[in-house]
Amino acid sequence: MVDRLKLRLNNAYIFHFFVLVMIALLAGLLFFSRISWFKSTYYSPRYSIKNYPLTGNAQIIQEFESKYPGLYRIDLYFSKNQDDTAGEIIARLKNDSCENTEDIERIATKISDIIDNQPYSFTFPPIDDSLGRKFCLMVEARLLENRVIGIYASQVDVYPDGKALYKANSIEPSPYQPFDKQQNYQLWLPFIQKSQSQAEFDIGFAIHYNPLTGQIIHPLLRQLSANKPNLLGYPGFYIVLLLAYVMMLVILIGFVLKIC
Amino acid sequence: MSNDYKIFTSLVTLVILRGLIYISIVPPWLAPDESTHYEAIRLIGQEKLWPTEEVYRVTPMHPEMPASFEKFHVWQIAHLAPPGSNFSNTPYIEYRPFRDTTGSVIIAGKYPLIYHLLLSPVSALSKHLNIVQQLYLLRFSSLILLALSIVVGWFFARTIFPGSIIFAIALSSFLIFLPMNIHISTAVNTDGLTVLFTSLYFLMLAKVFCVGGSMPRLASAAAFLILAVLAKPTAHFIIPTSAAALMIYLSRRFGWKSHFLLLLLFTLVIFTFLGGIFLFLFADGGRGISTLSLSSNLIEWDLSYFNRLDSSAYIYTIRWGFASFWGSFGWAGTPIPAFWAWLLWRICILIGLGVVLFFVKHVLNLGGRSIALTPSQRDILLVLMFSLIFAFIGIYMPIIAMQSTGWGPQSRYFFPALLPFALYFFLGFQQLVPIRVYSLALPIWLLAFILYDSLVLTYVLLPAFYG
Repeated sequence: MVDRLKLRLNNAYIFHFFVLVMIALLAGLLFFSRISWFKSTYYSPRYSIKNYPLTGNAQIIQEFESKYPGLYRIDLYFSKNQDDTAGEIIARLKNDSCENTEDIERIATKISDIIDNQPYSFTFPPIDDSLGRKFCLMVEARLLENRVIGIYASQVDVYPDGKALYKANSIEPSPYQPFDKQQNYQLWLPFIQKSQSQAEFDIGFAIHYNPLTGQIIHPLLRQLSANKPNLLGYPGFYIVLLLAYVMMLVILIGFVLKIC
Repeated sequence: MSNDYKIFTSLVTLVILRGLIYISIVPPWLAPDESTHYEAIRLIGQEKLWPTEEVYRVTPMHPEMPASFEKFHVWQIAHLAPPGSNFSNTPYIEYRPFRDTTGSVIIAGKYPLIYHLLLSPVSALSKHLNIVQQLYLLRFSSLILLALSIVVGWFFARTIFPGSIIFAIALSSFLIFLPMNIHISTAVNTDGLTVLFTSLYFLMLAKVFCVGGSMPRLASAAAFLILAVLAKPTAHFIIPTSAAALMIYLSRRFGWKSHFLLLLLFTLVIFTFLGGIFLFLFADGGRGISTLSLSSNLIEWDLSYFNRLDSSAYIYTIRWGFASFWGSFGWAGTPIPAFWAWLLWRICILIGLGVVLFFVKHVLNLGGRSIALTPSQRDILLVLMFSLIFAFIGIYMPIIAMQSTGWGPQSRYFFPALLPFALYFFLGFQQLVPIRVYSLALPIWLLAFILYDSLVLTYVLLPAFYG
């Protein structure tokens, strides 16, 4: 079998043509498939300084901007007593403004599915045209009396592309106020652009994307070339570089197969 | 054009292209210690100042540096808060120029400055450019050093195995497609130059053993040894390697019994280990040798070194060293997925067994069928094996000497030994390939590395830096 393989591949031209066709087919296949490992790690969600309780009709909202198409998942961090299992968290995604009455997505999740101080993912079908759009995430809880679940946030404004707002519970007097919680993960502290008043903050969140591969190329090239000088500031440079690299790879593999 | 030359040319072209990819993708300042080394080079090249503590104290850093860190989101990618933030208990890397003290560890008399001297003309010529342009030019200079290392690696393998090109291809591919090697070697730091000097030393050593000893070759080996040792302490393992090479050369010359030679080599290993601790304690982690400034303080010798540190500390350092060899990018430490590391561990253990098998069967010639290695090849392979042992001692001995993991063995400290490591890695891999498909060992090796590198690029680096 090995000898037959070698015989067939002995003709360098046939081999190179074969490989180029395979690459073209693979690229075509990839172009129309989805990749789900792009996420906005710009602001790490693990800056657990403040904990905003979601009791009664308390709500917390966060504005954000999607940097890529295919927005499909938002990770949030909650604080809860592990024994609390009753109730649910509701996350609503709205288009542009939080004043919008219409929800793009409404996700309800059981409290029992949430683990204290671990990211919980709210997923929904990919929004393919999310590139550059502003969204509003609204989170509230439906809990039994005297149960508390909190959402982690910063104590200063750390996310420049949107603001957060906390609406405290107004149904009945609640002993639960936003409080500071000592965390062991103070490594994960985000960037501050300017000093802020205590009122401005952002919740800890991470945004995940699941776009078609073809859709992500343009925004990725824009990100790659942003702020870079000379040739590196042109998206075309990266395409040319990639093509040259793939071509040389094919040539090298051809040589290696030939000598083996 | 012969096949050899075509393959050699394509490998050199590939390393340039891969280097350009990493230079352009890794955000400025994110490579390990990059801002610190840039400032030291800038002081020498542009300010015409020797980087002493006093100079750092009175000379402002490049004014565009903090803004550049912000523009490329370096703090966010590293999940750290910048200096001056009002978080308390914020651990952030204390890099010059962001320290409040005299700053950098790149201080004349305490840190070797050969690399910085070498690149200072580039910095001087680019003075009128903005800071990011200057950085990219320096990165490109590092890429040239890397390309030269690949060329040296090719000839190193061809010298040891002149009859077969596959070892040269395998070794070069390892160096080219190992993501961390390209990442580190195309950044602004001293590792690339150190790797080049040690590679040249190993090439000369191979020529002495396989082609013949001559005064020019011996002199060249000595010169490259001195340059490597002065370039960075991570190259100091070539000092005991030279001693081992001398012993092996003399044993061949005078017909010493193999038991006697092995006893000598074993004694050399023990002395290297103990001597390493000794030197580390009063030579500032080896920098005292590289900067020729040894301490005269009395040593407090304590024989209980092996009792204090918990075994978990050693396990941690081994795991950390492994992770930073295969994928831990930038001083942000952007890691590869845990499953990949899990898989790589198992592959490396298997290949490690293959290395042992190869070494015992073919180098030591103990039992079983042995491939036709010439005495010269056996000798140089024996030298290279001991060089790896000394390199490992050099990396892990400081943990014992300091009784802490404060001296974390990043994989780049091991890169000066990449040439012998890459060769043995392939030789070990070959032992695992069944005889029926032995000729496919190289294509499998090459494709596996290309696949791994492509996955790292698309699955780890691009999302982490541009998500």
